[in-house]
Amino acid sequence: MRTYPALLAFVAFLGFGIAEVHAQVAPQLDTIRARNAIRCGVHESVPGLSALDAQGNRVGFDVDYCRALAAAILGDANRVEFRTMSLAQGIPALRSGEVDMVALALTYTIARDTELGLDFVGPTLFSGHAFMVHRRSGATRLADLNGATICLVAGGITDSLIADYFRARNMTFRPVAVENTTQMYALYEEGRCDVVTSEVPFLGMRRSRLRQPDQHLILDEIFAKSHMGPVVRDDDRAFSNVARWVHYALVNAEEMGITSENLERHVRESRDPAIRRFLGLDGDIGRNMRLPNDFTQAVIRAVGNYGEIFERHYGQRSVIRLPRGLNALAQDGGLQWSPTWR
Amino acid sequence: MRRWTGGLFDSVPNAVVSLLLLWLLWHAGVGFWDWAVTRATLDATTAEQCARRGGACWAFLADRWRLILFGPYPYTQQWRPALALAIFLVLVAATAAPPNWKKPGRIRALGLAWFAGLPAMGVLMAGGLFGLPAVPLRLWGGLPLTMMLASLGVALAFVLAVLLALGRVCAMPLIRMLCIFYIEFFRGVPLIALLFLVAVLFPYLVPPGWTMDILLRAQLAFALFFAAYMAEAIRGGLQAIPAGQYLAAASLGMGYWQAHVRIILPQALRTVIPSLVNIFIAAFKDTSLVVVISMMDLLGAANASTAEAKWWGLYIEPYLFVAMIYLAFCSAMSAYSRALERRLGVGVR
Amino acid sequence: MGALREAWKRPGLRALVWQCAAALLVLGLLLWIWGNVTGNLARRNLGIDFGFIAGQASFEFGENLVGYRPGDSFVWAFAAGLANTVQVALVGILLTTVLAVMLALMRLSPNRLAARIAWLWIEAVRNTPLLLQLLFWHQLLIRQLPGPRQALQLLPDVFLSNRGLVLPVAEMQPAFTAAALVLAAGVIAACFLPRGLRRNGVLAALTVTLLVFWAGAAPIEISRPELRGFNFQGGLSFSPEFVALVIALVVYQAGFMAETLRSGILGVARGQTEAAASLGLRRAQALRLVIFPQALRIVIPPVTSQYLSLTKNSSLAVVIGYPDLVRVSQVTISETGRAVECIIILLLVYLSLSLVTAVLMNSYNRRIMARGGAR
Repeated sequence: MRTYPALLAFVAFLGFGIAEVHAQVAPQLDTIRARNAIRCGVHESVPGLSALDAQGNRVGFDVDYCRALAAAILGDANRVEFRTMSLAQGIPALRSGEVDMVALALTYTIARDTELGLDFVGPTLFSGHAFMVHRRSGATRLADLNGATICLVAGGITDSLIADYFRARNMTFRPVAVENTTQMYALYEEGRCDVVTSEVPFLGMRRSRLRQPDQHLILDEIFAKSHMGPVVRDDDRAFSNVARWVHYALVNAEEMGITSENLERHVRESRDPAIRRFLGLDGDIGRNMRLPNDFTQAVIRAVGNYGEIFERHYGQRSVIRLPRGLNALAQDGGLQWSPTWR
Repeated sequence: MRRWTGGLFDSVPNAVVSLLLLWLLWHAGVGFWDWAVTRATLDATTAEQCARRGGACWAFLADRWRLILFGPYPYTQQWRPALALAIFLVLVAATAAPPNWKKPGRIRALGLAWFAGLPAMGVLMAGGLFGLPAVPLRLWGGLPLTMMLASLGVALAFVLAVLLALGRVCAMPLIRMLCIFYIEFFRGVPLIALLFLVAVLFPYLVPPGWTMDILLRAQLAFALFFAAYMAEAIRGGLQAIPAGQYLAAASLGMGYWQAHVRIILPQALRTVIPSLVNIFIAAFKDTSLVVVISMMDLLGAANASTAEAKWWGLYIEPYLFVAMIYLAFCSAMSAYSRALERRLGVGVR
Repeated sequence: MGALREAWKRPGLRALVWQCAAALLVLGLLLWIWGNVTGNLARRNLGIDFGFIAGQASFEFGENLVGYRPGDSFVWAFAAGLANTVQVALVGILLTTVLAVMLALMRLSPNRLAARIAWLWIEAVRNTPLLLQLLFWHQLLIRQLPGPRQALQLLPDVFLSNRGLVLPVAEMQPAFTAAALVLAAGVIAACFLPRGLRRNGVLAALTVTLLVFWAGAAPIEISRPELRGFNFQGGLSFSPEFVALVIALVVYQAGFMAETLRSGILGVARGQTEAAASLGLRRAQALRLVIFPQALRIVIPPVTSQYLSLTKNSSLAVVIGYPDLVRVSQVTISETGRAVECIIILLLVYLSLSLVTAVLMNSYNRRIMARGGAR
């Protein structure tokens, strides 16, 4: 009997010893390079953001950001392992280290930035939350929605935003929280809820896929802003920098007029010192981030500039058909900007 | 005639009940026939076209049955999981037939068949060898995935369950306590909570850099979960062994493990095979829960099959199809379990 | 060497060595896992801290039994989730017992048609997954039931629509809570009386409760459901998720429980049935007075595990969006990032529920066995 406590103490000592050894932080860039792949959390199937095309390849706005990051760090945009997850699983998966970046169109909030230990990339999309209602309900303004049943996805902040908005105006609502957007729109269409909510670009796209699109009305008023972007952990400054500057590279490329088509021409012929520095032809723009100097070339070659990505997934030929609006470049009156590349 | 109507109309209350039930059956039968045959649509390309006739949309099943059965497995390669499944079912049927248990020659043949069959199934599903294109784990789905999760889970659980059951009845207090904790823990928590645990917490539980595909994690969760239930069943079998067997083994000079492996366990396991088959049936049904961790088993594939706009809104047809498959497998297994019970003479007073 | 072998032959020493080995193995494994957990948490500058429980939750639950509103603490949110789970479990257990008894009687009925139909029903629900049945019932309720404006009126003031079932209910008053407490206290006190006086004790408790209620209650206001705007306001409402969950759980579990009851009834020795018949008891009387009490002794343990199964199966609610404990845990993890703590809480709560049910049933079982005397 006397041996038991000693044995337990010994094994406990071993356990804590193991914990001590593992308390060293390994830089994420090293881990990614050793693994030779980026792990990216994306939606299972939200057209425009992340979905499988007819050949079984994953395409979407968020998907392109994952591929851009892979191009920057590993030189190959296809070295991405996509993990599909629901909204509720996204942040826990990021915090536990299961994925390196989560691109689930998460809204940039103070709680997520400061309390949950996350860093936002971008915002890659400036937007707002709006409602879609059945026309037969007769509601035309937000004020008409008192007492309505609202379908939403569990695990996000939408329900708190709606709760704040409604409480401020002495209105009430009944939430129906489901696991994913497909289920949410199915319940809405069947009439389980009067109202469904999402960001403006996706509401329009979803309405066009309903059985009778003209029976549904998207209310003009936006009840909460929603500036979204991919998210990384904030415990590795170097990796956060890389993720954020990949986004700035995409925007800056559009500001400079560099597209995936004319990239080679710029590389061969450009005399502009700013462009040469940006593309890594002169100077060492990537050194402090431990990236190759021409990482911006790899990124643009893989996915194009911000405007091309936007056009591809949200543009007039896509399912979403969103005008540039707030997402135009700052020099064109929008909000997308990049710091100076010097 | 007497045999069929005996007991139906012999007394007034009975006759009333029988007439009521017959009326209900008739109405249900007529309604079902109308829906499933008279107004059914066999050739349509969208759900709306089916809805025009108001009946069952068999056209949907004709279009989507492969997606439901095989999930996201590449379309042209679907013969591989089909073949793997067929091999598995043949092997299981051969192993389950009691006549094959008596002759050592047949047992050897079965052993060889499994030894060859398991790698064959693995290669068929995963590919990468013999010119078969590789198919990553995340694309495995449908019925083969359900079968794999259930069988591998129960097979792994069995090994652990025997150890747990032996520990549970062990005379040494520490081992007994540990086994009791394990069994009570895994019997007290719902399977969904365990699946969430492995999905969300797995990276915390292992050193950094270790990763396991979600499929294998789910497999592990199933194995740990069902080991507890099987351990309780095996414990029942162990406790039914008369003390004389232990004494006889001891008198032959057998040690603990020898006695158990050669004498006690074979008898105990024989009597609990029906319970173990019932647990396998439960495991087969419970694999449907992996839909909550975004895996596409048979039920998940049925849900996903109506996700496309042209088939949106159908639910009875895919659920009915999948229910028929589950019914077929599970009733076959319970019939087998009942037949085994009768044959082993268990449960007869 | 020889001494070691001699020592090994001593069973006491062997037992000690095996136990030490097992303990080292298991504890080693657990501590390795624990080391990983603390190491990973340290690496991310997190720690295991249950203090987040006192923080403010911001997610919206809708109607719930404990009156949780966004802004209340996480403790209250977990309590709301637990109340929902317990609500489903209690209603489910009650209805399952009723349905299982009916099915068992049908199965045992001399009417072959009834027996066959019951057998088909039981086989159908036992051989399909619960999740499939749940999704089916949920889709059925959502799609087949009309919207609130065209709700079916089952009884005056009772409406069924795809928003759920609404009933009129008496408005909550302090007198109700007071009466409930007095009744509970009275019944518990009556349990301590000697056996002969117990019945009178319970009657006395009931009388006192009624007096207290009559003295202290304001006029009873009935809250009637009315369609105003989008939904029915007032009354007691059950969401279609709750109804679908209860129906699916009850139908599924009753199939298993009916078989258990049937084997219990069949397990009562044939001699009892014949003796009852020879005493001139009709079949129904024989069942009620002779067979059931004895069958009860046999079926209590398996029925306990059926009830436990039902409680654990209610966790499937998360798939159809009913806000039970698992959903609360999920969204709390998403909002606070405290994955390890929340899952520990979730597991502990379910373990406690199982433990409580098992203890209650075991004590009931012991009393039945004691009363029955020798077999």
